[in-house]
Amino acid sequence: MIIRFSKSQRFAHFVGALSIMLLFLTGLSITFSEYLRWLAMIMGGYRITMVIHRIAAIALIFVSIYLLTDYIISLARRETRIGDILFNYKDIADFLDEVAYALRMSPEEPKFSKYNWLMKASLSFVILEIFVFIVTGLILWFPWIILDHFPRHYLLAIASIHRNLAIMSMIHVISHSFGNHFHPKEFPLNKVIFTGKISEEKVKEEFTLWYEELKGEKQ
Amino acid sequence: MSSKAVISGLVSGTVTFLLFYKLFSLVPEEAPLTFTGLPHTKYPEIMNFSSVVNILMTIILALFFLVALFLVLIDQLKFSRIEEEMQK
Repeated sequence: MIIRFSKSQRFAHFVGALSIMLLFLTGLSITFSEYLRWLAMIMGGYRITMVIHRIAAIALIFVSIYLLTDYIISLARRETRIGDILFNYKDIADFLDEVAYALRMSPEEPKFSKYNWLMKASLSFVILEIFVFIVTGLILWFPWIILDHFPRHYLLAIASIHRNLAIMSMIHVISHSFGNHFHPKEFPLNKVIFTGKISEEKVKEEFTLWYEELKGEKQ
Repeated sequence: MSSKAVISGLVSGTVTFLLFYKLFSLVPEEAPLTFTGLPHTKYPEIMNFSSVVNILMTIILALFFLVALFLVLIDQLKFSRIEEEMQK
């Protein structure tokens, strides 16, 4: 077995996922109060729902800073490279090759490193998403921080960005869960993010370049 | 627990605490802000700005949905091809 995710990464994924689920549940019942009032009532009413939303937001901010710090330390220790996790030019080529393979226009699949183009694109989008969430969410929570510089009605537009991004994020989480956790090829569940370990055969098959890199390090 | 996890935990805990300490210190003592005080004379202008942002965000959301749908479709096509090749 090969270690794919460290304890820190698994902890951050768990706290992040839990806080995002809570933010969705509470945020949806606040935004669509006409239809989802019952959801807020289950959680103890709107006052408590708002408090849970804010606590989950603090957890998400904490875990985002935690992962950022963890990544900066890994970069400083040369345990990882920027190109390993952020979307770059090679990933565009990989994306085109994979589409060609899926459409039967190419004889073989592209070879991937530790994370494929979709994982990197997803992570890059998560970084952008969480940054906008935190900024807009904090402005809505503490509007006084912008009122000296911007007119009050800008808050309506910021609320709109926050809401629409939340729906976008839900689509993202659903497709992420399908593609990484509940994919038919991993039926019933891909447990890598829970155990942190992945089989050597799977690495060889799906992350060939990473496998070759690991083999090269051993020799 | 690794030193990296301890440093990351300390840094994130401290930064989060300081951020909220600062933000809470900015909260004025009077009643919380509401939208009841929107100036009526500028109402159409205000709603126009908000509507433009809303429409823009809805377009981005629709595009995002289509991209997600396309990616799932590509993934399923790839999966079925791999299955076929394994059966041969």
